[in-house]
Amino acid sequence: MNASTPLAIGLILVVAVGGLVYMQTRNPRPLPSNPQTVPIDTQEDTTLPADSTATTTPPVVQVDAIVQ
Amino acid sequence: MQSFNSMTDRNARAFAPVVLRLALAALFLWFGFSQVMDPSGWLSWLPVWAANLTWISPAGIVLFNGWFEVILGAMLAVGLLTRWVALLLALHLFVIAFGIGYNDIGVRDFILALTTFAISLGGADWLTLDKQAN
Repeated sequence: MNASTPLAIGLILVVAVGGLVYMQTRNPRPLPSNPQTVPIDTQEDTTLPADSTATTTPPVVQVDAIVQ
Repeated sequence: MQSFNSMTDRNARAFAPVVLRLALAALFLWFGFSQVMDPSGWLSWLPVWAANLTWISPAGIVLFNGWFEVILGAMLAVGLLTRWVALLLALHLFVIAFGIGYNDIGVRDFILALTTFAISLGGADWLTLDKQAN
């Protein structure tokens, strides 16, 4: 092995990373994010509505409608 | 079996500093190229003390910083003056980490600075220009 091997490896790395950044700069797209991350604004809303406690009264049975 | 394991271990061990050096070179190259190609996108990371340090515009400082990281990153990739280049990059990253402060990014950069410093301590590995040119 001679000096050309580390030179080649290093230059390939420089060109590869430079090309990657160049393509990203030319065509800016958001970097892929962790799919398990849930954005705060799309989380399920678990808060109860303001009048949710008023619906606990059982329905009124119409006694007149019961056939004897 | 024992001899096979020890041989594999010896071969793998030889590549440990190479992989570490190339990975950190890629890191500095990526951030360097990103700053060179889009200096305005990195202005928010420029600390106030750095912006007031010279007469150079903030975008100019980002550009200078980007070329610094590209050139030294390339030197680290080919293994030219490995020990000194790694030391400079480690000091550079220590300054950045302390500037960012104690948060997730600051801790990550501090550890990366320590890792780069470890390369400086280790010196040139067998797959560097430093070793192969001599």
